[in-house]
Amino acid sequence: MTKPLKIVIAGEGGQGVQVIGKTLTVGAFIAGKHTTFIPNYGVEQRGGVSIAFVQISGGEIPFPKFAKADVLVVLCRRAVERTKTYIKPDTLYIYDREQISSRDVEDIECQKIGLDGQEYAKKYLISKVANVIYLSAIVASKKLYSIETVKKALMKEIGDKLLQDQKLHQLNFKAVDAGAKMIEVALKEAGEKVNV
Amino acid sequence: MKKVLATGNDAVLRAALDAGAGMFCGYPITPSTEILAGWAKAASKNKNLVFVQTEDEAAAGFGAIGGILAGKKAWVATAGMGNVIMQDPLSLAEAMRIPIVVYIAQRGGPSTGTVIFSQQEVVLTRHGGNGEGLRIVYSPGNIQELYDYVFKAFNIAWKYYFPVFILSDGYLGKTLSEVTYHQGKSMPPHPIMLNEHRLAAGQHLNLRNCYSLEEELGEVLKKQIADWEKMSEKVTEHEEFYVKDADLLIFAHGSVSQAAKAAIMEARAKGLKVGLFRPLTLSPFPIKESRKIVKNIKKILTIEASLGQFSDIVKSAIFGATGALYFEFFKPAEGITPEEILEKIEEYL
Repeated sequence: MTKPLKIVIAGEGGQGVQVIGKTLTVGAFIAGKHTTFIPNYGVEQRGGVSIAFVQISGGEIPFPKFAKADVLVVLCRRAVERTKTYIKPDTLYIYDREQISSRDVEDIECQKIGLDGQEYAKKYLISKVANVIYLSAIVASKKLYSIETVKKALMKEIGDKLLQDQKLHQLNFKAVDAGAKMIEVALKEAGEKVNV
Repeated sequence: MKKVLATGNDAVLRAALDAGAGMFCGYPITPSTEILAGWAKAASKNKNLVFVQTEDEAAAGFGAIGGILAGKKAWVATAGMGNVIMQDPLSLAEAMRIPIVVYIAQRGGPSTGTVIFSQQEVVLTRHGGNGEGLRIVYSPGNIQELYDYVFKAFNIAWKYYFPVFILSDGYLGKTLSEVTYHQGKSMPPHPIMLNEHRLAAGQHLNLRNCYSLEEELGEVLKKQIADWEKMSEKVTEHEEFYVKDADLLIFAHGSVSQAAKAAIMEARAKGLKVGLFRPLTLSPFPIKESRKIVKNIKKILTIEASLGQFSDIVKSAIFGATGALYFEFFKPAEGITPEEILEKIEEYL
């Protein structure tokens, strides 16, 4: 049995968490993998912590929800507490350093990688593509599929918007490249080799 | 055949369109609203599709019955409190043998509860309001099955003239995953009011839901129950998963049965002898099949996201057929993950 890779993404409503989840899934489908995505669509959708559950696998995935994540991406401070239940010893914990300090996550016991996705997006791109940086970082962190496929998935999801706005199109694709690079460097620094 | 990435709600809508549904009446309610919205969009592009947004779910049910009487394959989709409110017209559909198709997305209760998930509408959907619950209820477990059983529901309804329900849940409706659309053969509808099989030319059909004499109604019910029993054997469906050498047998339905499958695969990898019996029709229930399978089982574990609505059906079905120990794991209105089920398997085996 191939075990699915389980991914949880959490952030404030409006940070584009569900877009990350859905686009991850679309990319996996394009790459010919089995995949599921289910949003946490309770009251949180209307102002609160928004959570997306994604699974990607070479084999069938029987059930969309799960208790523990292989990759957990946390994009706002109050999601740190809310998502503690999804952590297991070998979870890869990715958090945004602009929103969350290393002290906020000091009691979390698994591999932690702080990225500057939001800061980078604000400084060099535009703030609303920060979620695309994290989308690409997730894909590259576990080599789920190629960076080209991430771009294809983005075109499938928001292509209508991107084709009307060349600049936005470029910014999104730059965010994809930046996210992959960022996680590669961070994982290398953390002493783990990645072959992207 | 076409493999696509779709949500459960997309798949339900597509199945109804592929099955030749021609009319939808509804009142929006999460987590089934996308079906209503999707139908409205489809109807805006295709004038053969009728869409009526009614003032409530009772009117939606009655409206769909009207459409069926006039010869449309009409259907409805609702959830939670909407399921409660719709039971009056659905009882009428039972009384008049109207082939209505009903999609139910279970959400948390009581009352408004949550918009997310539960398995708390089993009794309500199986039995409905006043009457005997002569209605077929499918319990699909994944998006592919949602498509397959919604498609099938129309054929079964128009073949046997009993209301057909697809009992789903919010997880299934909202999950995005792969599904293969393989439009099969669908039965053409016909106006029930002019049903040539029941009537001589020129006669009017008087469908009744009201009788003056108890014996009169008693006779009608006897015939309906006889039809039901004759049909039951043909439509009852179940799935067995790793049951052959199982010491512990899990009973679960719907999406929870899929979580159980994932847990069983993990347990089997650890050498634990556990299997699953999963009814695909909650009504009629696979009584004969479940009694047969529990004979040599040592332990039974029923798992559901409600406080025993499903377990009561299982217990009544297998009564006297086994000496197995009987355990229950209930988590009303909350999702049950494969990890939790695996813990229970390890606890009871």
